[in-house]
Amino acid sequence: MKRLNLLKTLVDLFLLFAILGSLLLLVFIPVFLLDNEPIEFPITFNNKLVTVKDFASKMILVCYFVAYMLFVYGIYLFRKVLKHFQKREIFHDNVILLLNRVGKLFLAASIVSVVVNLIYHIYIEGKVNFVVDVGADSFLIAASIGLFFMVLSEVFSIAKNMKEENELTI
Amino acid sequence: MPIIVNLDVMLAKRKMRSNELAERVGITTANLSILKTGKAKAIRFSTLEAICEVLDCQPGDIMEFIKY
Repeated sequence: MKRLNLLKTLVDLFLLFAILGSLLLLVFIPVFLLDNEPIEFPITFNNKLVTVKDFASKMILVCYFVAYMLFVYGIYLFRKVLKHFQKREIFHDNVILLLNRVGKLFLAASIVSVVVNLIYHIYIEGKVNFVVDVGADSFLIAASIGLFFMVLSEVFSIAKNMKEENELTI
Repeated sequence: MPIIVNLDVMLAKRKMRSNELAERVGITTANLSILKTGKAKAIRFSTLEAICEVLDCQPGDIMEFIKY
């Protein structure tokens, strides 16, 4: 399974950089939160420029970080699914459980992101733009991908039952 | 499971061993064991036909429905 190995390598690379970035953020965010003076340099998070100047903008930054960590944890669990696939454990109970969790995490991350984006627009920019985003990184696509993983988990569960019935048909 | 497979009874009547039945029917001893222990989810008509042919019996002789 060359494509599986390639996918796992790409996921491993992403996780490596994501974990490094998360560790850096884990160090800096407490500094931002505890420091009362406004941070002069702007931070770009999820393509949004967040200038940390007061408590509300600090909370927005923390919420962006939470959404990001939910996503990274989802990718970590997805990596575990790929490890199962590499061992040819396709219909393992753990695979079904993990796929469902991955879906929930991606869905949660996308919902938190969109809520924080809305709060950011209202608080920082003082306006709400109604924009239907149809890009690859839109909320609709992100939420759909989360739901897709949950549906995939159900499909794997059905397939596992069918496989067992087939194996126990004499 | 409500359907009980009484293969052991028929095997004893015909003085046949499980592995001999499995070989003559064309299934593995593992599958025959699954059938005997009631773990089977389904049985193909072709397998049932072969078992009845070998044991010279009716399907009702080797299967019984018990209500819980």
